[in-house]
Amino acid sequence: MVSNGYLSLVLHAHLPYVRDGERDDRLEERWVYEAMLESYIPLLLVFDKLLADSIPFRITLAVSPPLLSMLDDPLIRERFQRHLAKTVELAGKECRRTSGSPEEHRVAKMYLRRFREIAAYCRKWDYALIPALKRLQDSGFAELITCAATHAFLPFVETEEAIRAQLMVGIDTHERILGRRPAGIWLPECGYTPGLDRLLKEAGIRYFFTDSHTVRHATPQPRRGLFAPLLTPYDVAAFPRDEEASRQVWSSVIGYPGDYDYREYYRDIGFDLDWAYIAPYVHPEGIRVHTGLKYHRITGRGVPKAIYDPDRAREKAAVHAGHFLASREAQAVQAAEWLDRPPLITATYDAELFGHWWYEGPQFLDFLLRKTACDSQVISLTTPSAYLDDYPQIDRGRLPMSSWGRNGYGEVWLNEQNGWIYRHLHQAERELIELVEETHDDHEARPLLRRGLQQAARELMLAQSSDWAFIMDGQTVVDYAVRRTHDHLACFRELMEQIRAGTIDPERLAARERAYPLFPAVDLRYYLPAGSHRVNVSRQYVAAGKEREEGLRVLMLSWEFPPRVVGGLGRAVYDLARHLARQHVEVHVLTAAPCTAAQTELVDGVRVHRLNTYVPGEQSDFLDWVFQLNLAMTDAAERLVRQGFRPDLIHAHDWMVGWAALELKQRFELPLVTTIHALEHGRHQGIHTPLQQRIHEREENLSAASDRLIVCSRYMAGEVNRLFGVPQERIDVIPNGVECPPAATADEEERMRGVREELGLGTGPVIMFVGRMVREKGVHLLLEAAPRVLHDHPEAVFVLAGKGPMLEEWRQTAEQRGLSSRVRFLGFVDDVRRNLLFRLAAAAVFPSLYEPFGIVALEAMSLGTPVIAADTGGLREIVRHGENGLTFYTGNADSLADQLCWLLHRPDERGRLVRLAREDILRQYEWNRLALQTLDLYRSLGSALATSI
Amino acid sequence: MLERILQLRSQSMSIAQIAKECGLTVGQVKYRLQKGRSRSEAEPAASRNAAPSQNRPDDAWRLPPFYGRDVVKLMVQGPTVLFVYWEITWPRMRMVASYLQADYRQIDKGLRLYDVTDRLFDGTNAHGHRDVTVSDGAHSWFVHDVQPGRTYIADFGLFHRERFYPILRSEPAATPRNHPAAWGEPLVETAADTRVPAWFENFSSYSLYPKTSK
Repeated sequence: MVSNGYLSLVLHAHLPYVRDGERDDRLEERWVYEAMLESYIPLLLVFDKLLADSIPFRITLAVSPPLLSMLDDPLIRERFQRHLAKTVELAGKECRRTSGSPEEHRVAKMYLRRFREIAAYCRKWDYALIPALKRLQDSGFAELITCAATHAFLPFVETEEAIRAQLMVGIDTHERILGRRPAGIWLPECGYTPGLDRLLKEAGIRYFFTDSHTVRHATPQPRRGLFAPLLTPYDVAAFPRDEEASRQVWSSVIGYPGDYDYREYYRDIGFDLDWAYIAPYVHPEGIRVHTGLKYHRITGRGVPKAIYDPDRAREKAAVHAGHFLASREAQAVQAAEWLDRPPLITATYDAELFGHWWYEGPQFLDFLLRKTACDSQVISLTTPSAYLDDYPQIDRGRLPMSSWGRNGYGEVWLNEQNGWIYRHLHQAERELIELVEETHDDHEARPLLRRGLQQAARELMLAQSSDWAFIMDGQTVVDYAVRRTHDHLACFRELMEQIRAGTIDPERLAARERAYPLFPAVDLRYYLPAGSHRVNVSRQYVAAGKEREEGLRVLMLSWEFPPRVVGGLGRAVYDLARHLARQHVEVHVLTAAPCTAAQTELVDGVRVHRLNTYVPGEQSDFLDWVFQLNLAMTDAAERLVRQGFRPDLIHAHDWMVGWAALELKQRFELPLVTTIHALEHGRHQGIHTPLQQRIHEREENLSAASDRLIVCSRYMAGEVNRLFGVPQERIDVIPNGVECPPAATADEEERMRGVREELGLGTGPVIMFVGRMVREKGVHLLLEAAPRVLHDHPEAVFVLAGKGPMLEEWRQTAEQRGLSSRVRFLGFVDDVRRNLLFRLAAAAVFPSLYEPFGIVALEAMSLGTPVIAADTGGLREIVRHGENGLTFYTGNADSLADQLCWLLHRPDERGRLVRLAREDILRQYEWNRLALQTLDLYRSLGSALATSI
Repeated sequence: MLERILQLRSQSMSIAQIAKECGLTVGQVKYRLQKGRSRSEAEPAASRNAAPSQNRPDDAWRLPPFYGRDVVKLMVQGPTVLFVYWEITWPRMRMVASYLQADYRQIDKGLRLYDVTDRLFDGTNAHGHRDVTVSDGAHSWFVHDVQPGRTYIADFGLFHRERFYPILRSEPAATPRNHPAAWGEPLVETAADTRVPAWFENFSSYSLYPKTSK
């Protein structure tokens, strides 16, 4: 027979894990016995009879792992046996009590018959429902599928790893208890979120179910509407449940279970009868509960309840089954008109609805399955797997986050009542993942550690059950739900602390294992990050530390680093870092990303972490941005430490990284070394504005908090001491260094001639200045001295390279003095060109008013250019007059002119000055030497180092 | 005394410094701070979304109110409602306070919610943003009336002198669309490799792959 349509019936059976190993009177545990007695066993009886009658029905059953575990539990079976015996006994008593009232007596006898039938069934199978489920599965008529391990609402689980664990532990449990791997899954509460399909695919799951709107709102619009499944991007099939079929059963207004002939759930003899009579059958502490014996039918609204009539109810169930089938047939016929294949109608329900809430539910299902399988000319029963085998071509679409809860999304599990749990659950996830990853190599060899982590995983998963949030939302047994969430998380934390401290209490652990004997062999690897790249990275750090025990690890903070170079600082940090790396120091530099792409790279053996700020630099106030960079540095350091990097000290460069430096020093209790490259006070010859004041204070704070300060000259040491009162013994002078390039090659000579020609410098002596065009650089002095020099040497040319705020003013000054033809302002010049200019120059002049160090003078010296420098700051320490260069009185243009003229007059002296300058550089300013000096300083913090690790 | 400790704390002083300043031991300062925290937890203003620990005797409640980890977590309750919870640790507050040169507790705190749908957010290129001031002592917030089918990022930060200073940024989260897709959306290709996400995912991962913004 070719079908016009398919009906896929799906029952989802789930109860939270409510077993209590210590007490047998837990009210919550009665949920299990009631469901077994009223729903699970009656449903199994229906399926058994269908099998016995060779009815070719099809159904899909999802049994959640906690429920499977409880059904498989000898303790639960034993307690159920007692519960059932009591119930049979009560039914017997009820038959005697109602003997005077024929209508009620008939109902009592119905119960007695019913319970005896169930008791006989249970005795036959030794109270074990698992074999019955297996028989059903093996029959081929029912497809058994799984659910997340503890029915967690997956969209609210924070990490991929914890979702994976929920899926995989569920699948493993299913396979362990039922002997097969499930093809499909019932997502708890139909909770879907984008990306979940990727993890389902990875877990080998073929299909899942969603609410109707999940597929209706898919992208692109599903062409077959809700009458076919939809593949997700990862090719897992989503089966949307049919709305009409749902409504007919679920709706409190028009749903079948509300029919007046059906049994009334809320009138139970547990509440209605005399205490003395009923006491032995309710809760021992005197709490009335449902006994399952109910005598009334729904009857109607606002009318006295009439006594239940089993025959009438049974007839009604048959009528409703017929109506349900006819409705599906009508739907199928209608849909077949526009669909290119037979429509599929997926009808999904909670299994506990049938029998427990809707007493006649199992009868309804019995009628429905028989009628459809035997009588329907339109509808065939099917399962998702069978449908997918028959119709492998399915459209694909992306599904939105959704659920089948109130209003279709997450509000049942995330609202004012239960929102507080996620902070704790997410933290627990992260901690477990980190600890599993950290201890991964030891799990085999250390069984107690493994067991501890496995129990921690169980506690977390139990806390994740969506049932607790659901109950808090419903405000029914809130205390129980809060207690369960709290207790599992508290036990989790306790265990984690013990594991970390290496003090696992074996007895306490064993007690928790006994109390929660589900998932006996949780595979901890599910919590490992995919691919475990991360494992390698952190291990690399740790291993690197172990390998060379003497090798220091330095966390360096610098706001600039090549290619981002604003002043000389970035260059100096780069040179120091790479030369330290050559000395086997593990250097991590935290710096700002030049564009928006944050990244980590290895530069000449230095690990450079380029960081983004929340707001990019050009979009905000400089100071705000600098502070944001400090936040980013703090976070990056925290991340590195969490990944296993253990710095021995922090090395900060200038005030821009002061907040992060101070914070990290405190947080990780590390020694702090700070290099002061320049001071705000010196740059501006005093502090004049509020901004300068702030920066000045930052410098002071940082200086005070640093264990050691490095400055580049004795002059700077004096300044730091004078301005901030830092004692000299905490200040070390380590100059900046330069590379010493070899003498000019023939090629370079050629290019030097090219440059002369290009700039029209003629053949006369070139006097060179390089630096920012700011007042403190003293270019005006050079312009003042120029006329006298030109008087003696009319063919001389002044070449001024660099840009800055004073450039225009100085250009005008040159013009006014009639120097235009002998002075060239070049603006910015790259390093290669600058070096050529130095090489061809007769003299390099540095007329600074303030110069903390004067790296450019060193560079000129290294290139063989005679240097004339102001007798100030760091320059004074580099240039010794008449030995390796010439100096003049700071701020004195005449003095400068004297020296220039002398040098140009005495070309024979040039060779001597240059030779000595080069020797000095090799002896004092060579980076390898400076790196070693810095390393010595690091090591001198030894006592602090020893305590910090 | 607690007031004084909190004041010093917000002036970027360390516990040890505060202890010295107040003539207490480090332990005493920590104890007072902790007590102060649990007290502010129980204040009515903070009881929104707070744990129901109030209902239980103190000694029975064994979950810490805070974990010492800076976090801003953005969760999607539904198409138009987001939930944000956060923890800003003392050290971070201390840093921010020292930058702003102000008492952290006196500054308005809040969330800036950016619509970053289909963008690689760099702090400036959101489609738009919206500010929410949160009450003092709150540690979580429901943000209503957001748009379905959009991707959001939240900053927790301070509103100070008419500017917003972000302190911590969340991961992006996407609200579901609550109506059918527009006509003409492209067909979806199969994503074969399950190791790396091909599409935006609402959950985080400890694995080392970048979040896609698609």
